Amino acid sequence: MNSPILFYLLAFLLIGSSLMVVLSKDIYRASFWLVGFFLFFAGLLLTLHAPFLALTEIIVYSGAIAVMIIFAVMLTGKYANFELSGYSIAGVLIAAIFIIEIMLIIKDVPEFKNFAFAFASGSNARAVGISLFSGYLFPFEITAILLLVALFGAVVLAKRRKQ
Amino acid sequence: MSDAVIGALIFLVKFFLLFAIISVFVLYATWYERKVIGHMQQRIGPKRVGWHGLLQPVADMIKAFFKEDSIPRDADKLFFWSAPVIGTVFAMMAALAIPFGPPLVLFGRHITLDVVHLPSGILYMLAMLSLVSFGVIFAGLSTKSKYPIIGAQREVAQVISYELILATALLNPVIMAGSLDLTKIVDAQSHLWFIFYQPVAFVCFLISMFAVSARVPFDLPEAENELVAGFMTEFTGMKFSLFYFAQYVVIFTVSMLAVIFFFGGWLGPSFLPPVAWLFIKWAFFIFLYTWSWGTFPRYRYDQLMNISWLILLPIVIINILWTGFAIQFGLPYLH
Amino acid sequence: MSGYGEVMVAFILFSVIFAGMVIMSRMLAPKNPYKEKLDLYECGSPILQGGYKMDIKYYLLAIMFTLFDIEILFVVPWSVYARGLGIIGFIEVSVFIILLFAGYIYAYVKGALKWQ
Repeated sequence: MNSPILFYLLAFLLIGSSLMVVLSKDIYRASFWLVGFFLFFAGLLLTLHAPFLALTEIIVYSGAIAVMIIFAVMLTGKYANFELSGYSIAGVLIAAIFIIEIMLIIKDVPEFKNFAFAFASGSNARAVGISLFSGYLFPFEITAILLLVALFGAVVLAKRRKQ
Repeated sequence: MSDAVIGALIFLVKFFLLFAIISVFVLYATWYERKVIGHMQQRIGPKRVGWHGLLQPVADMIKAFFKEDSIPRDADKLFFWSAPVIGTVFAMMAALAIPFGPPLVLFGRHITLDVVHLPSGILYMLAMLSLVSFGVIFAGLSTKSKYPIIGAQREVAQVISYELILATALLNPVIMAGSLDLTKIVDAQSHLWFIFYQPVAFVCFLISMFAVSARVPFDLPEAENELVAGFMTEFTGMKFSLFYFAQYVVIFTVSMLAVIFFFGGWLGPSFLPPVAWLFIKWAFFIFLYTWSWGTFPRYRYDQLMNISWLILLPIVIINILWTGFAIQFGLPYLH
Repeated sequence: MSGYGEVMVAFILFSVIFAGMVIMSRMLAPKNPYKEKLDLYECGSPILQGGYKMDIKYYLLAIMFTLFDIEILFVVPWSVYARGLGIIGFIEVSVFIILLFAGYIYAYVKGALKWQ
């Protein structure tokens, strides 16, 4: 399966499911397609030979963040139907800017022109560990601070809501 | 025949073999559980169909196929059809990575005894197990009915409690083996099983093991005495059976994980083949599930959250630091 | 084809098998729907609208779950190579874990984990 067909298939599924996320009226259905989106995205990461990142992506995004979103909707205790029409123009504009930006970035990177479109088979967790604990030590510790700040924010927010 | 074709054939054979093993397990686990629970409660259990009810699961399966498939009027058709399939598919996907023995060499080919051999196997299995819960959640949300919604909410509350403990407890054996590969984790236990190094992690894993498969002390999403059948109240026939199928596959997988991570997998004296040792140890965990079903009362879900957030989480995190310390300074570590 | 390619194939096979089972039972089973049968459980009791709200505390726990999940996945690359990364690696990962554990203690002291 060493052909770009795999990439196009996954990209098609990705775009389809992300469109469904945006276009569904029922927010639970949107979360359903969101989970599908994360899965196909993990498949795309696998074709880029990043299995550790792909599995991490499934665990964090599908396993935790999608659950958190569903939980947030449940907290309201309603079947909320959302009308997104008021924001569609702004959304399209932002998306267009984002796409142009990414195209400008990847235009000059030679690695993006010769991918091997095939699924990874090895494990790169050890390589990630070595580079994380030698070259990227400072960002690694900063991540801890970032997570800590998020935690503080959540606690403060929940406490204030209660009063 | 070329190498790739043989590889694909081996994969397909292993795939359908796993499917057969798990199907037989699921069928006869229902019979076995009804029988054991029956005797625990001074009853006899299934006895009519076949010798001591041995054909009962087959009869149940045929009945599930021919049962009317009733879909409530207000149901979300997408969720209602896909939820049972999601749960079952991802439960089976998790089971793909279980190694059933050391790698074989047949006709000069190196054959691993798992359907798909992944170097980061445990991470893959955790990812798939975390997706199983979406089947339950979407099933609960599919009909706007009371009990299923409460079941789905409890499932979400349960997921955010146990999943962390499960992953963190399994990280301790990973640190000691230095690999995410399940085969290497078993090989690392050739001196001494990890249960003797990591009793605390094992207890934490054992508790979250019952929560991940939603079985009796923590069967909150389906709590049949209070929520009718929880998330699957509105489901009938094959869809209903698939939820049970998924649950038993998760039980199968998680019990295998317990054996592989803490009880030396297929390691044992050589008068029995490795696969036999694996299944003997695994059968103990299957019995443990039935035993707890016959013994324990159900916890409330705030109690489950208290257990995992206030007691287990600090313990497992301190345990990880301790394991790392012991690895670096070699304190009680005999390897 | 090996590793995750096989996973992809297995995913498609499993989906076909189980969706096929559901559809087959739909085709084999008798169909006799009428109004009462299509009602919800408990005599079609009204659907849940606006009731059964949950405490905001559960949402806080969901956020904490996400954060700790990310933390554990950051620890995984260290855990597969704990011996090779040596004492320096252990100290780094300890700082990482203890920082988040401080957040946990903060939430505990603030009473965010207590239940009334």
